[in-house]
Amino acid sequence: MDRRHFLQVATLLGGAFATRALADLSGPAVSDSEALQPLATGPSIGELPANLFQIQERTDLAAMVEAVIPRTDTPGAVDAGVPNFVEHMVQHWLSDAERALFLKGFRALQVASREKHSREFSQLTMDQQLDFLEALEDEASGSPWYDFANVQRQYVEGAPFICQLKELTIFGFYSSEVGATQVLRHDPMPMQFDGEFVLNEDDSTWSMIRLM
Amino acid sequence: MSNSDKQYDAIVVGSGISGGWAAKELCEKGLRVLLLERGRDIQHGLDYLGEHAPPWKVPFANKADRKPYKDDYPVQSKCYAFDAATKDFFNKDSEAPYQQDPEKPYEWIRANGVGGRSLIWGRQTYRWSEFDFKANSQDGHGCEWPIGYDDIKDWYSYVERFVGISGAKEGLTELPDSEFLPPMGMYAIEKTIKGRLKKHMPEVTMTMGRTAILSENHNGRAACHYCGPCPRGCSTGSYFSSQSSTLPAARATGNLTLRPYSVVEKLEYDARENRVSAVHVIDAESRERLSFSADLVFLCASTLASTQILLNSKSEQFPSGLANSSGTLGHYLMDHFKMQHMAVFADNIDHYYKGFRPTGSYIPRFKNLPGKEKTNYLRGFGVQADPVRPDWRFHFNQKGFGKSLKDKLRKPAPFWIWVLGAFGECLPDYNNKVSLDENNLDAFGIPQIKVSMSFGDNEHKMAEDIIRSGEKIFKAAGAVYIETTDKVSVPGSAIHEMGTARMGKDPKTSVLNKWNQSHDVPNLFVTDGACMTSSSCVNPSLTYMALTARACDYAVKQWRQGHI
Repeated sequence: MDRRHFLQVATLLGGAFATRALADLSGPAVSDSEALQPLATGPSIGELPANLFQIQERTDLAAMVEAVIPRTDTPGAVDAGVPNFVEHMVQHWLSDAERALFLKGFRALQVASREKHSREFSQLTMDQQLDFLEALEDEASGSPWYDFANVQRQYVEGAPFICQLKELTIFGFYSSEVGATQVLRHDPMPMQFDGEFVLNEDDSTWSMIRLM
Repeated sequence: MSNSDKQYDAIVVGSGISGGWAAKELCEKGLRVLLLERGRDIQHGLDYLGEHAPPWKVPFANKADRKPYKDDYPVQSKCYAFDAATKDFFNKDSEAPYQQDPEKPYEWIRANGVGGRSLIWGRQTYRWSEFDFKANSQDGHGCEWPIGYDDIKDWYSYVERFVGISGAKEGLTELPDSEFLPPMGMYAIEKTIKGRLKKHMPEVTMTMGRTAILSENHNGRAACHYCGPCPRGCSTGSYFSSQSSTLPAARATGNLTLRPYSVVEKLEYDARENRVSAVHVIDAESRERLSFSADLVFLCASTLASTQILLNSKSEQFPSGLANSSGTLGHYLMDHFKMQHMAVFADNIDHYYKGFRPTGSYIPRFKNLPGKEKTNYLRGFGVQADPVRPDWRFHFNQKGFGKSLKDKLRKPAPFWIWVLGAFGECLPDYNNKVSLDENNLDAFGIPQIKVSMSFGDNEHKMAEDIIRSGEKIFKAAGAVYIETTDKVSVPGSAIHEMGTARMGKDPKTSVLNKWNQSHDVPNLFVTDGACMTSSSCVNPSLTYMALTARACDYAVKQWRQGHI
């Protein structure tokens, strides 16, 4: 696209986009250098860049998240792209100290699997995998991570590896398109409010919450 | 310095709720209006970057991006409405710092773009009552209001008919009814609670939240589609914002010039004519200095920012800030104090909901009123109440793995949580103030503001009663588990900051007269929260709208008659 064409497109887009596009041509914007685009047209959280792990690590991580949220009669964590999400979060979202804690726990689990069963974690049976994970959860059970109503905004720094793994897996899964639409109920445009709506025993939550 | 002299009849500073109304009213009355906004342009719909993003498109699954938030948004990120999908509507603290008294933290939640906080406001909309306007003169705190409820009630109706407010009539003197669109519906659990309160605590009224969100189509704007997260912006204009409502009306007259990136440094005072003769602006992008003149100047930059401009507009005649012959400019800063209690209910668990209702319900003030309980403190509090059916975000940290965990997390928790958010009135106090810090300049060389505010004895006594009242309400409502807290919000964080350029009858003790006009300088008006003389306990935005429309009407009549 040549400069002239680009300017026409920018003008057609109008408003802040045009201003920003024009500003980009004349140097960095004064007030906001971030590329602003609507979130709805951006990448999904399962497709975000991550290059922290090697192949075997990825295989084991996939096995771990699948053990937390497995495929049942509905899709599981691997189907929902959670391994890539967790890798992205560990690489880009956790603090340096938290990342070190995660990697230490992750590698210790890989080593323990080889020592006890002479196999990679991903090659263990589901029962063998769960034995490891449940043992880790037993060890971690005193962590404040398990406190009632430890809500979304308060990430527990220093939470043990197993808690980090579960938290990132669960957020990645239930926020994913697969989790939100095939396991939860996704109703982005309800068009009405019904406060008497019946909840049957097997019904899932909505995928969204209000933000007052 | 370039000079664009006399192109405009009126200049409005700030494009939020008050400034949008001033622009609309003045434009519709035929004045050529220049609307100055310090932030970037934000176009209706087009620039609502987070709107309708599904959960899988929100970065980091909407977990707070802690490092950048701490570096760039240490104050703003504490706001309930701040997240990955709304942050671009907020001011970057790192780029627009302010000073706090180290012993008295103050949270200044700011927007930085066209529309101001009208894009991210809580939209709760309540009239003040005659008791509110009389409170100062009756108990002697602050100065007497120069107006009463009767002076403003028709202006409430005027703005309400334009805004569109859903709510239910209750016929209460202490919370007068607005011109309502139909109220939104209640949850089954709220109906249960309301029924129990009626029986066990008849002194309280529980009514649907009164909110500036359309329950039916109104004035060319669409009814709410109940998508949930309002502060991401609403391209259907279903909630009131400058973008959805007042700016289009102003623009339709052909009289509006909107200028974003225009930081007002100060107002120039002409002593010979006794008027504001120019508004000095720094272009935030080019750093060019500009000057604009008009017959009328309306400050609507938000409570603290309007006062900052006045304090920074010093002259020989006004050495401590423009229009400050009284010495009260910057003083009597107020904000509501907020307390939040929660309780668990085991009723109606076989009822859920469809649609994300964008408001809670409301329990109006029920103490220190005629015929109601008298307490050991002055004035009172109101309660915003809301039920929440917790989902996986609330109980993700449970033990377990595999199919059973997956199944538990996908279902709603087997209980409701009912949250009470009490908002208490704050007494006007001379010592709660904003001043300029000449040693700390902002990026434009303008002295930063320094805020010093704390809640006093009356607020703390009221806080104790809010805890007792919360427990009483929860018990009457049938809660199975109650958790109250004695935590009182940090001043500023209720985002109802008011005062610092108060209205009053006496020019010796107040900055503005009963028309929001400076006692000292007749072509200067301040109609945002800075003008408030007391704080009531209800959300203030509707009152700013009504006062602004009323002040515009007066100003234009005076201007046409040659008095300004």
